[in-house]
Amino acid sequence: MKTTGANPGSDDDDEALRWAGDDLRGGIDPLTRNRVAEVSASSLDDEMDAAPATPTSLARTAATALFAVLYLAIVVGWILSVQITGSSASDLFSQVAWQFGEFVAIIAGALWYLAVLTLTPDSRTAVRVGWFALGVGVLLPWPILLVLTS
Amino acid sequence: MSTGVVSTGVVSRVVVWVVFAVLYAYPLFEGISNLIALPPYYAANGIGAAVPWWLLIIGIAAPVLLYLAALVLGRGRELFPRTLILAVGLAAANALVLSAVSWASAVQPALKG
Repeated sequence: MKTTGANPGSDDDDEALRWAGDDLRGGIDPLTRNRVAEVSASSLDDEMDAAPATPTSLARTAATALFAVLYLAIVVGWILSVQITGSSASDLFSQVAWQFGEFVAIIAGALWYLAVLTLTPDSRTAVRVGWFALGVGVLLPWPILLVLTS
Repeated sequence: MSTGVVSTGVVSRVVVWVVFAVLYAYPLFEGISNLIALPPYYAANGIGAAVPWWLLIIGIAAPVLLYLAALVLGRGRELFPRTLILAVGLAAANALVLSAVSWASAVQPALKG
Protein backbone atom coordinates (compact mmCIF):
# COMPACT_ATOMS: atom_id res chain seq x y z
CA MET A 1 0.00 0.00 0.00
CA LYS A 2 1.20 3.44 -0.90
CA THR A 3 1.22 6.00 1.90
CA THR A 4 1.58 9.76 1.88
CA GLY A 5 4.53 9.49 4.16
CA ALA A 6 6.40 7.50 1.55
CA ASN A 7 6.10 10.30 -0.96
CA PRO A 8 7.26 13.52 0.71
CA GLY A 9 7.44 15.60 -2.48
CA SER A 10 3.78 15.31 -3.51
CA ASP A 11 0.59 17.18 -2.44
CA ASP A 12 -0.55 15.60 0.82
CA ASP A 13 -4.26 16.36 0.35
CA ASP A 14 -4.41 14.73 -3.06
CA GLU A 15 -2.49 11.76 -1.88
CA ALA A 16 -4.79 11.29 1.12
CA LEU A 17 -7.71 10.70 -1.23
CA ARG A 18 -5.98 7.98 -3.23
CA TRP A 19 -5.33 4.36 -2.41
CA ALA A 20 -2.93 1.98 -3.90
CA GLY A 21 -4.79 -0.28 -6.30
CA ASP A 22 -7.22 2.39 -7.52
CA ASP A 23 -5.67 2.06 -10.94
CA LEU A 24 -6.55 -1.61 -10.98
CA ARG A 25 -10.24 -0.82 -10.32
CA GLY A 26 -10.55 1.36 -13.40
CA GLY A 27 -8.69 4.35 -12.08
CA ILE A 28 -11.68 5.75 -10.24
CA ASP A 29 -10.94 7.01 -6.78
CA PRO A 30 -13.54 6.64 -3.99
CA LEU A 31 -14.59 10.31 -4.17
CA THR A 32 -15.32 10.10 -7.89
CA ARG A 33 -17.16 6.81 -7.42
CA ASN A 34 -19.34 8.45 -4.74
CA ARG A 35 -20.08 11.40 -6.98
CA VAL A 36 -21.14 9.08 -9.79
CA ALA A 37 -23.34 7.19 -7.34
CA GLU A 38 -24.93 10.45 -6.14
CA VAL A 39 -25.68 11.58 -9.66
CA SER A 40 -27.28 8.21 -10.43
CA ALA A 41 -29.39 8.41 -7.30
CA SER A 42 -30.53 11.96 -7.99
CA SER A 43 -31.49 11.15 -11.57
CA LEU A 44 -33.47 8.21 -10.19
CA ASP A 45 -35.20 10.60 -7.79
CA ASP A 46 -36.06 12.88 -10.67
CA GLU A 47 -37.69 10.03 -12.50
CA MET A 48 -39.69 9.08 -9.41
CA ASP A 49 -40.78 12.70 -8.92
CA ALA A 50 -41.72 13.07 -12.55
CA ALA A 51 -43.91 9.98 -12.56
CA PRO A 52 -46.99 11.53 -10.86
CA ALA A 53 -46.83 14.55 -13.20
CA THR A 54 -48.70 12.61 -15.86
CA PRO A 55 -50.71 10.08 -13.88
CA THR A 56 -52.51 7.59 -16.04
CA SER A 57 -53.35 4.92 -13.53
CA LEU A 58 -56.28 2.59 -13.92
CA ALA A 59 -57.92 4.03 -10.80
CA ARG A 60 -57.72 7.54 -12.24
CA THR A 61 -59.25 6.45 -15.53
CA ALA A 62 -61.97 4.48 -13.73
CA ALA A 63 -62.80 7.47 -11.48
CA THR A 64 -62.95 9.80 -14.48
CA ALA A 65 -65.31 7.41 -16.29
CA LEU A 66 -67.46 6.87 -13.19
CA PHE A 67 -67.85 10.62 -12.65
CA ALA A 68 -68.67 11.05 -16.36
CA VAL A 69 -71.71 8.83 -15.79
CA LEU A 70 -72.63 10.68 -12.58
CA TYR A 71 -72.37 14.09 -14.24
CA LEU A 72 -74.44 12.87 -17.18
CA ALA A 73 -77.09 11.86 -14.64
CA ILE A 74 -76.85 15.34 -13.09
CA VAL A 75 -77.43 16.99 -16.48
CA VAL A 76 -80.45 14.73 -17.12
CA GLY A 77 -81.67 15.50 -13.59
CA TRP A 78 -81.52 19.25 -14.24
CA ILE A 79 -83.28 18.86 -17.61
CA LEU A 80 -86.11 17.16 -15.71
CA SER A 81 -85.89 19.69 -12.87
CA VAL A 82 -86.47 22.75 -15.04
CA GLN A 83 -89.70 21.15 -16.28
CA ILE A 84 -91.15 21.43 -12.77
CA THR A 85 -89.72 24.80 -11.72
CA GLY A 86 -91.14 28.06 -12.93
CA SER A 87 -91.04 31.78 -12.36
CA SER A 88 -94.06 33.71 -11.16
CA ALA A 89 -92.64 36.90 -12.67
CA SER A 90 -94.62 38.42 -15.49
CA ASP A 91 -92.22 40.98 -16.95
CA LEU A 92 -90.04 40.04 -19.89
CA PHE A 93 -86.66 40.69 -18.24
CA SER A 94 -87.42 38.44 -15.28
CA GLN A 95 -88.72 35.71 -17.57
CA VAL A 96 -85.60 35.85 -19.77
CA ALA A 97 -83.31 35.93 -16.72
CA TRP A 98 -85.13 32.94 -15.18
CA GLN A 99 -84.85 31.00 -18.45
CA PHE A 100 -81.14 31.81 -18.61
CA GLY A 101 -80.72 30.61 -15.03
CA GLU A 102 -82.45 27.33 -15.87
CA PHE A 103 -80.27 26.91 -18.96
CA VAL A 104 -76.99 27.37 -17.11
CA ALA A 105 -78.24 25.03 -14.36
CA ILE A 106 -78.71 22.37 -17.06
CA ILE A 107 -75.19 22.81 -18.44
CA ALA A 108 -73.63 23.19 -14.96
CA GLY A 109 -72.76 19.49 -14.75
CA ALA A 110 -71.10 19.43 -18.15
CA LEU A 111 -69.17 22.65 -17.42
CA TRP A 112 -67.95 21.41 -14.02
CA TYR A 113 -66.82 18.07 -15.49
CA LEU A 114 -64.98 19.71 -18.40
CA ALA A 115 -63.36 22.24 -16.07
CA VAL A 116 -62.04 19.53 -13.73
CA LEU A 117 -60.89 17.47 -16.71
CA THR A 118 -58.99 20.33 -18.38
CA LEU A 119 -57.67 22.10 -15.25
CA THR A 120 -56.35 19.07 -13.35
CA PRO A 121 -54.37 17.13 -15.99
CA ASP A 122 -51.24 17.00 -13.82
CA SER A 123 -52.90 16.95 -10.41
CA ARG A 124 -52.89 13.95 -8.12
CA THR A 125 -55.78 11.54 -8.57
CA ALA A 126 -57.15 12.43 -5.11
CA VAL A 127 -57.28 16.13 -6.06
CA ARG A 128 -59.17 15.40 -9.26
CA VAL A 129 -61.59 13.04 -7.50
CA GLY A 130 -62.08 15.66 -4.76
CA TRP A 131 -63.13 18.32 -7.28
CA PHE A 132 -65.41 15.82 -9.03
CA ALA A 133 -67.03 14.84 -5.72
CA LEU A 134 -67.50 18.49 -4.67
CA GLY A 135 -69.28 19.17 -7.96
CA VAL A 136 -71.65 16.25 -7.45
CA GLY A 137 -72.54 17.58 -4.00
CA VAL A 138 -73.09 21.16 -5.17
CA LEU A 139 -74.99 20.33 -8.35
CA LEU A 140 -77.44 17.71 -7.07
CA PRO A 141 -80.72 18.35 -8.99
CA TRP A 142 -82.84 18.91 -5.85
CA PRO A 143 -86.04 20.00 -7.63
CA ILE A 144 -86.51 16.57 -9.25
CA LEU A 145 -84.99 14.65 -6.30
CA LEU A 146 -87.47 16.26 -3.87
CA VAL A 147 -90.38 15.36 -6.15
CA LEU A 148 -89.17 11.77 -6.56
CA THR A 149 -88.59 11.27 -2.82
CA SER A 150 -91.83 12.88 -1.64
CA MET B 1 -44.71 46.43 -27.09
CA SER B 2 -44.72 44.35 -23.93
CA THR B 3 -46.67 47.08 -22.14
CA GLY B 4 -49.35 46.83 -24.83
CA VAL B 5 -49.58 43.05 -24.41
CA VAL B 6 -49.82 43.36 -20.64
CA SER B 7 -52.49 46.08 -20.77
CA THR B 8 -54.50 44.05 -23.32
CA GLY B 9 -54.39 41.11 -20.90
CA VAL B 10 -55.51 43.30 -18.02
CA VAL B 11 -58.35 44.78 -20.07
CA SER B 12 -59.52 41.30 -21.13
CA ARG B 13 -59.47 40.15 -17.51
CA VAL B 14 -61.40 43.17 -16.28
CA VAL B 15 -63.99 42.78 -19.05
CA VAL B 16 -64.48 39.12 -18.08
CA TRP B 17 -64.77 40.05 -14.37
CA VAL B 18 -67.37 42.74 -15.10
CA VAL B 19 -69.44 40.63 -17.51
CA PHE B 20 -69.55 37.75 -15.03
CA ALA B 21 -70.30 40.13 -12.14
CA VAL B 22 -73.42 41.22 -14.05
CA LEU B 23 -74.36 37.59 -14.77
CA TYR B 24 -73.84 36.60 -11.11
CA ALA B 25 -75.99 39.57 -10.08
CA TYR B 26 -79.18 37.86 -11.22
CA PRO B 27 -79.06 34.85 -8.84
CA LEU B 28 -77.95 37.30 -6.12
CA PHE B 29 -80.93 39.54 -6.94
CA GLU B 30 -83.20 36.46 -6.71
CA GLY B 31 -81.77 35.63 -3.31
CA ILE B 32 -82.17 39.18 -2.00
CA SER B 33 -85.75 39.49 -3.28
CA ASN B 34 -86.60 36.14 -1.63
CA LEU B 35 -85.08 37.36 1.65
CA ILE B 36 -87.18 40.52 1.48
CA ALA B 37 -90.45 38.97 0.29
CA LEU B 38 -90.67 35.56 1.94
CA PRO B 39 -90.73 36.43 5.68
CA PRO B 40 -93.64 38.93 5.33
CA TYR B 41 -95.49 36.42 3.12
CA TYR B 42 -95.04 33.66 5.72
CA ALA B 43 -96.08 36.06 8.52
CA ALA B 44 -99.19 37.13 6.64
CA ASN B 45 -100.18 33.48 6.27
CA GLY B 46 -99.67 32.58 9.91
CA ILE B 47 -96.46 30.57 9.47
CA GLY B 48 -93.99 33.31 10.31
CA ALA B 49 -92.04 31.02 12.63
CA ALA B 50 -91.34 28.58 9.79
CA VAL B 51 -89.27 30.94 7.62
CA PRO B 52 -86.43 28.81 6.14
CA TRP B 53 -83.66 31.27 7.00
CA TRP B 54 -80.88 28.80 6.06
CA LEU B 55 -82.23 28.57 2.51
CA LEU B 56 -82.55 32.35 2.25
CA ILE B 57 -78.96 32.73 3.42
CA ILE B 58 -77.74 30.10 0.92
CA GLY B 59 -79.58 32.00 -1.83
CA ILE B 60 -77.56 35.14 -1.09
CA ALA B 61 -74.25 33.58 -0.04
CA ALA B 62 -73.92 31.14 -2.97
CA PRO B 63 -73.55 33.69 -5.79
CA VAL B 64 -71.20 35.91 -3.76
CA LEU B 65 -68.98 33.10 -2.47
CA LEU B 66 -68.85 31.29 -5.82
CA TYR B 67 -67.87 34.51 -7.63
CA LEU B 68 -65.09 35.20 -5.12
CA ALA B 69 -63.95 31.55 -5.20
CA ALA B 70 -63.85 31.64 -9.01
CA LEU B 71 -61.70 34.80 -8.93
CA VAL B 72 -59.29 33.21 -6.43
CA LEU B 73 -59.06 29.89 -8.31
CA GLY B 74 -58.50 31.74 -11.60
CA ARG B 75 -55.55 33.77 -10.30
CA GLY B 76 -52.36 33.23 -12.27
CA ARG B 77 -54.13 31.34 -15.04
CA GLU B 78 -54.68 32.21 -18.70
CA LEU B 79 -57.85 33.99 -19.79
CA PHE B 80 -59.66 30.83 -20.95
CA PRO B 81 -59.30 28.87 -17.68
CA ARG B 82 -60.31 32.02 -15.75
CA THR B 83 -63.43 32.36 -17.88
CA LEU B 84 -64.21 28.65 -17.61
CA ILE B 85 -63.96 28.74 -13.81
CA LEU B 86 -66.21 31.82 -13.63
CA ALA B 87 -68.72 30.07 -15.94
CA VAL B 88 -68.71 26.96 -13.74
CA GLY B 89 -69.32 29.13 -10.67
CA LEU B 90 -72.16 30.97 -12.40
CA ALA B 91 -73.82 27.71 -13.41
CA ALA B 92 -73.40 26.31 -9.89
CA ALA B 93 -74.84 29.51 -8.36
CA ASN B 94 -77.96 29.25 -10.54
CA ALA B 95 -78.32 25.53 -9.77
CA LEU B 96 -78.02 26.25 -6.02
CA VAL B 97 -80.61 29.04 -6.18
CA LEU B 98 -83.05 26.73 -7.99
CA SER B 99 -82.34 24.02 -5.42
CA ALA B 100 -82.95 26.48 -2.56
CA VAL B 101 -86.28 27.54 -4.10
CA SER B 102 -87.41 23.92 -4.46
CA TRP B 103 -86.31 23.14 -0.87
CA ALA B 104 -88.25 26.16 0.37
CA SER B 105 -91.37 24.82 -1.35
CA ALA B 106 -90.75 21.33 0.03
CA VAL B 107 -90.38 22.44 3.66
CA GLN B 108 -93.14 25.06 3.59
CA PRO B 109 -95.93 24.15 6.04
CA ALA B 110 -99.58 24.49 5.10
CA LEU B 111 -100.71 28.12 4.97
CA LYS B 112 -102.96 29.19 7.86
CA GLY B 113 -103.97 32.61 6.59
